[in-house]
Order: sequence, then structure tokens, then C-alpha cells
Amino acid sequence: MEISAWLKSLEGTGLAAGIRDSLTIFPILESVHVMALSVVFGTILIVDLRVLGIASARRPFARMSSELLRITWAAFAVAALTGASMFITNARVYASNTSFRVKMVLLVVAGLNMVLFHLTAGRSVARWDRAASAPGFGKVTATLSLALWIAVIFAGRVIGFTTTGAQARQAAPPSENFDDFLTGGADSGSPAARQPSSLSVRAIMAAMVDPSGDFLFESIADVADERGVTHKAPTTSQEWGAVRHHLQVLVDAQRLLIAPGLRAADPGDRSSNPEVENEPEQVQRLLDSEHPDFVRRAERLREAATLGLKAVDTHDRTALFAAITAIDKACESCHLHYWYPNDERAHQAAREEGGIIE
Amino acid sequence: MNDFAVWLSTTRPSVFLQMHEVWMIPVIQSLHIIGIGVAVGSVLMLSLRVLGWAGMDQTVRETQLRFGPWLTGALCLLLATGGLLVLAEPVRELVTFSFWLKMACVAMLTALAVAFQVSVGRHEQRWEQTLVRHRAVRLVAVLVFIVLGGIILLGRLIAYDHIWGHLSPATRS
Repeated sequence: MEISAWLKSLEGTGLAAGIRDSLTIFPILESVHVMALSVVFGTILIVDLRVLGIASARRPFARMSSELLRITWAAFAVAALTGASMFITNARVYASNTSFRVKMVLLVVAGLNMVLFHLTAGRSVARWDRAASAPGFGKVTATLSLALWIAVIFAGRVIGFTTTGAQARQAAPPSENFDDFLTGGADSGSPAARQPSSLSVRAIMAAMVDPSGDFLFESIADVADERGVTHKAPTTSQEWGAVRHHLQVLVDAQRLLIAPGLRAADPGDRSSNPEVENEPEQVQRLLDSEHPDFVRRAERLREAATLGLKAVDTHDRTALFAAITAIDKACESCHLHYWYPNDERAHQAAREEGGIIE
Repeated sequence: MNDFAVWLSTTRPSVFLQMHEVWMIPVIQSLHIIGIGVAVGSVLMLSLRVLGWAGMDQTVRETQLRFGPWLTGALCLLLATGGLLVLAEPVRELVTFSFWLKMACVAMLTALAVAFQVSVGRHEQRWEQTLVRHRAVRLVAVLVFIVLGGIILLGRLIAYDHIWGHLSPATRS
């Protein structure tokens, strides 16, 4: 069987799905993994420092290492089991992740290094068991062992920082409409440009919801200028067509926004106005803990945009105005809850305008 | 706490860490995990010796002299790297239930580690002869390990604070 098909079948197992669907199992697996690897590293460190003569130099090596390595192996088994359980939840993403690959190679090299130690200094242990340190080659393998295990820890931690975007892409494959919107249609742009760097609530807002929302809010309004008050509304079929297009973008955006696992923002994104706005990680926590609520609010946006599409069909300006007002309220209600819950002025304005506050 | 965390995130050192967070945070977190490894290894050896399950070629005092300083060093490394992590992401850390429960456990375990080291230094003979057989002491030797596991769990749960439901300040707003 081809490797990617095998990885996909791992992701499809009941165990993988069970871990993915639970909010608690993955963090617990991660914690047990850290506990186990800290025992692995802690005990290996004690043995290596003994080989180097840096600590426990007066203790007989053979007894000490046989006592400790039993614990090391037991902990390693737990680390391997928890690691494998996490791996199968998203096997293809991890398998293609550079840090993950580096970590696996380092683990193999650390294993070979251990074999090397046993074949060299390990064989002559009777001669240096009570000496302060192992002979030269034993010291080299002990130093290598420490360096390798520290590198394993680094590589392992980096995995968590380099898979997020890929996971979000997997959770919510970009729809054709999103592709077209970003690239201006199927016939323009290189294949690379058609693939968005990563998908997040923020990216969808910036690429789809914001520009289309702004267009709609501008499309129908009472304009007061030097010519007095004029009513602005679509008149030509071209103008009605443009309104329809932007309403449709909002309907499509809602489908992307509710994809499970969609991140709030890219890693490293910061709020530009942290005094009143939530930081991406706060938004993320709200999204994680209140996803059904978020879906409900997004649904409100879709309903309002759908009303707008009906108004466009009948060229009904009053209905269109009502729909766009409803879109505005849907946006604001969701922003007040997830984006800037601490913005008192925005809350006040929403109350005055009869917005939805909950 | 939210206001303090937000204020902290606007201070210069915090902004510096945030600007370089792409590589700084994984590096600091890795050093933190290395510190955890040293601490866990040391506590494991001390507990197993007190329980009489390993390291019986050494006295309790010898074991404490060997691993005590490493445990203290590891705690310092953990406090330093942990402090930097809080500074790098104040809101993510401080506005969570997991973080504060973890700090309570850390304070408890640190106090216990200090008390143990001082006590072994002062009452060497009592430790070798009677205390290691004392049921309460043996119970603590096991409990310490459970609390240490709890600290590791809570540290990881900072990223998943929603698990606590309404206990988590992040879900109230």
C-alpha cells in the first residue's frame, strides 16, 4: 500500500476519530507524553553524567544504569504509545512536517548511539565500573546522547508550532469560490497564488467578508452632501448584479467560517488595538469553547444575506435595505462577543441602534 | 488580572519577545521541558531512595547531596523560562485557571523540596533509620510524584483551558 494511503487509513481509524472528536483526550495525551519524556530524559541524563564523570562519579556504573534504564524503557514505551496516538489523528500532516521527520531521525540516531555505547564502553564496563568516568569513546557517546535527546525535545516542541496552518487547511479545504475570489477567477494567477497561505477566521474576514460588507453598506444609503440628501441605491442591472455578487460572497464565507477546527488567526497575529480587542488566542478560546454559539451567529449572517438575494431578485430596495441592516447587526453582534467584548463605546452604539447584544 | 495581563503585554520586554516569538517561544518552551526533565529525574531518584526502591547503594543524605542541587537548579531554570513564557504571552498564561492551579502546586512542591533538603541535612541519622520507614513520609514520597505529574498536566492544559468550563476565566467574558 502506498504510504500516503496508509497514513490516510490511520487517520480513518475509530481510535484516531475518537481522539480528534474529543476536546480532552489530545491535551491529556500530550501531557502524559511530556511526563514520560521527562522521565526518559531525566534518567538518561543521570546515566550520561555518570559516564562523563560529572555526577554520581563514585557510584558503580553497572548497578546504577541497570536500575535506571528499566525506568527509562518503561517511560519510553509510554512516550511512544502516546506519541503514536497523537500521530494517527493527523498522520499525513505530521508525516510531511519537517520537525516531525527530524525528530524521528534523531530518535533513530539516538538508538544507534546507544547500541554503539554498548558495543564499546559497555563491553569493558567491568574495568571502569568503579572508576570516575568511562573510557574516551564512552564519553563521546554519552555527550552525543545528551545532545541528541535535547535536540529531540526541541524538534518535538517545534512540531506544535508548524502544523497549525496545515491542520486548518485540512479541516476546511478552500471552496472554489474562495479560490476564485482570491485570484480573480480560475484563469488568472499561478497555482501557487491560488493556494492561500493559511485559512483562518481573520483571513476569511479580510479576504471576503470585509470587502463585500463594505461594498454592500455603501450600495444603499442616504447620502448627505453639498447637493442635499440623496437616496443611493442600485438602479442598473449591472449595479444589482454587483450587489448580488457580494451577497453571495457573504453566503459562501459563512460556510467557510463554520468549518470545525478553523483557527481564529495565523500564529503570530496580534491585535492592533489590544486595549479593547481580544487577542487572537482569546478569540480562539472563545471559538473552541463556544463553537455552537459561533455557528449560530454565523448562520444569522447567512440568513440576512439570503434575504438580500431575494430582494435583489425582485429589485426591492426597501427589502434590500432591511437585509443589509440585518447583515450589519449580525456582524456587529458577533464582533461584540468575540472580537471586542471590552469596547464599551461599541456596546453603547449597538444599544442605541437596536443591535443584537447577547 | 485581564487588565494586568494586557498591560504586561504592552511592556518593552514583552513586546520584544512577541516580535521574536516565532523562534523564541519554542526555544524557551524546550528549555522549560529540559528543566522539567532534570526536576522529574531528581525527584524520581529522591522518592525512590526514600521508598527504598532504587539507589540503595547510597544513603538518603548522599542521594540528597547528589540530586538536591540539581533539583534546585532545575527549579531556577523552570522559574526563569516560565517567567519569560508569561512575559511573552501574558494573556494566554495569566487568564487561565490551569496556570494558577499550577502555580499553587509549584509553590507547594517547592516548599516541600526546601523542607526535605533542610531536614535531611539536619537530621541525617533520623532519616536513615526511622523516617524512611514512616508511613506518612512514604506516602508523601509517592504524592510528590503525583503532584509533579499534575503540574506537567496543568502546564500543558494552559493551551486548552476550555476543559475547565466555567472555572476558566477565558470562557467568561
